[in-house]
Amino acid sequence: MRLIPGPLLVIAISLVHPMTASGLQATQADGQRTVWDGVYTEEQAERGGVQYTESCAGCHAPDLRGSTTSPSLVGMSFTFLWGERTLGELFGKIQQLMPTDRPNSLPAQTYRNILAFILRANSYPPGDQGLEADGLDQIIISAKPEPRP
Amino acid sequence: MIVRSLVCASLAVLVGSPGLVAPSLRAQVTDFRPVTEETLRNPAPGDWLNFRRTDDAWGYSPLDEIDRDNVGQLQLVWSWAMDESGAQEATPLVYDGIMYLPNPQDVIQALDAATGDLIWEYRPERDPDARRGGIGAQKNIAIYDDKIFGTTHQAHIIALDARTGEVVWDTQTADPSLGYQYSAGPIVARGTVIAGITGCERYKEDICFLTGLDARTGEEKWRTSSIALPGGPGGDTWGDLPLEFRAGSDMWMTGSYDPDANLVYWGTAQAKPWARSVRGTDGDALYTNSTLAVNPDTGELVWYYQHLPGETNDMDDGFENILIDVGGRPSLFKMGKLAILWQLDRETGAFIHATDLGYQNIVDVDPETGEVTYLRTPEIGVEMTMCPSTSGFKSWRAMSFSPETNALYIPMTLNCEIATFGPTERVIGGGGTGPVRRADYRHPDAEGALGEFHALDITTGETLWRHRTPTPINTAALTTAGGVVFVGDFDRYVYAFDEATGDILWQTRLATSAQGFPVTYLANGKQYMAVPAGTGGGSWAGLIPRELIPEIRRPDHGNSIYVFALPDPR
Repeated sequence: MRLIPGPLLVIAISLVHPMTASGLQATQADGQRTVWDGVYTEEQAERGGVQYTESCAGCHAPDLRGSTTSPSLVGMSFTFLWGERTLGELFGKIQQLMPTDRPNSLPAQTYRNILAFILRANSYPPGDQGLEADGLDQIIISAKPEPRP
Repeated sequence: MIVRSLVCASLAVLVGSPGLVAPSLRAQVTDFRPVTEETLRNPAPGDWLNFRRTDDAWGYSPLDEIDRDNVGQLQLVWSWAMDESGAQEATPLVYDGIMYLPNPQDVIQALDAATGDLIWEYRPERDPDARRGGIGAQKNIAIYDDKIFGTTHQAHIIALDARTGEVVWDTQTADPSLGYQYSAGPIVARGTVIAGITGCERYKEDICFLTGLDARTGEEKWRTSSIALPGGPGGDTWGDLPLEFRAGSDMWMTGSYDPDANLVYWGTAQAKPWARSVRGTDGDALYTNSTLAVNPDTGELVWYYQHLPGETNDMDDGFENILIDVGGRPSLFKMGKLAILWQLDRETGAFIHATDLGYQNIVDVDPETGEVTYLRTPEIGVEMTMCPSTSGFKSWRAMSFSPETNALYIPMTLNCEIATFGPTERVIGGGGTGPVRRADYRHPDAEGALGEFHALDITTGETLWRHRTPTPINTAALTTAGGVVFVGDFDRYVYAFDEATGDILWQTRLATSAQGFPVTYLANGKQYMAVPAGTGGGSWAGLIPRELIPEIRRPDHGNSIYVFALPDPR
């Protein structure tokens, strides 16, 4: 019989849902942006759409509404899974675990493009500047635009 | 003895589609003997002629050239890289020394089973926008008369000439743009090709079905819904939901057949969305999560048994149906994600017994009546813990039965989950499984292991032995009359166990995860064992190890098949 290595006995508590109220308050206090602030470009979403079809649509469906194996990436489902979390968290999840048969196999820019495509599919507005490697942790996926003064 | 003859060396290049298909050497299977109904029901010992070799889905071979004394000498004879564009869950068929191999994304090949030489290949023209990724698994194909039958991820059932791989007929049964696809292949019974469709999770004005086609022509003979219709028998088990909001009951595992009872048995998946609170009814939702017994000539639903009425945690029982006579009673055994072994009377559908392996904490099941009481049901937005996770302890990796030990050999993964179920839109095109915020964690009773290969005596319900592995067991089991049972894991190992003791008699390591359905067969009078390897698929191999044991890595590609045999005498 093969032995189980000791470290594997550790329960993966760290994988528990990372959303915390304190983290959220901190970013808002810093005056950070939300997905309603035009955080991606139309061109980036367009490229992401092509890359989504190639790498993601097999499981999440061409219209992003998911399948038996994979959740919907739009509408109530997206808001439920990712609402009030940051784009950095979502980017990390996509990059580390997707596509499930080839995780972390795409260039980081491609993952960002796909993220832009998902934002567009959820009707968040495009802007003048695309998603960049830096700053994703400061963008909140809020369900509704912040009330403006 | 099979003689291959090269008929011609035609370059199958389609003008205007560069790179669509590689130039292929076309040959054909010569001296092909059509497979009769009698042959299919009673395959020669050296052939693997049905999904699980025989109609009863034992996954057992009577071959014994490879036995517990010599299995340690197994060595690689040949291997073959398979299509990389989808999930690997293949079962090779072997007939008269030819291996018919279902690849992902509908590719089918015929290979010399002794040498691995390609004889023909069916590679359908691929839509440039074709969806790739986890979907596209082709678990099995079927053979009958002079044809090979497959089901496609574009919701077609096809028949190929077994000699040449040429298409004989091609019947589309549903609209793939609605999500419909096949991931489980057909069986053939009395000249009818029978297959169950999947991809039924989205709301649409259509529902999941099992269908029977004429094997000669591809003409549809019957179609049986796997969901109770409003106003029909069992229709009120979905509350007042209209037909378009009755989703799920997919069939992602191929059925079994009892020629004496003339019934085919098919498992159905859970209702969609998964949680009662999300789908809007706490009714039983017939005929989800059930075993269906269907007349193969007419499609008539003769009986059904619903294992988990109103299932609500994504714990489906839609897996293989193993037909064993116990104490003279014709029985059907099934295990779903909860690792509860169900025993039914396969002639009447009457419940006989339930054996809970004891790892799950979602239901109480009365072992004598089968009555299920839910211990935890998800409410929208409320965090809960459950064992197993939505990946299940058991999935498509089929059990095998050994008549020598009277035991089932069960490939499993052990894990639990912190889960919060969320809502979904009740509109046409919406629905689906419903979102779940999930974080998997290790099962407290698993001593750090994610994999378990479990030998269970079916008459006593006692564990014969269990072998735990750091990563999930990742292939179906294969039992043999040599007293050896084979299985593989995510961490690329393939093992041969002594079926009685659980001792490892042989092991080897592949290029990537062992994944699919191993088989054994004779070619030129010699016994071979073939095991598929590869990646893809939506269940535990994709996510559980990566989340819980990320330090164990495997290549994220490498769909292939490996064939082993004993060394030839010097």
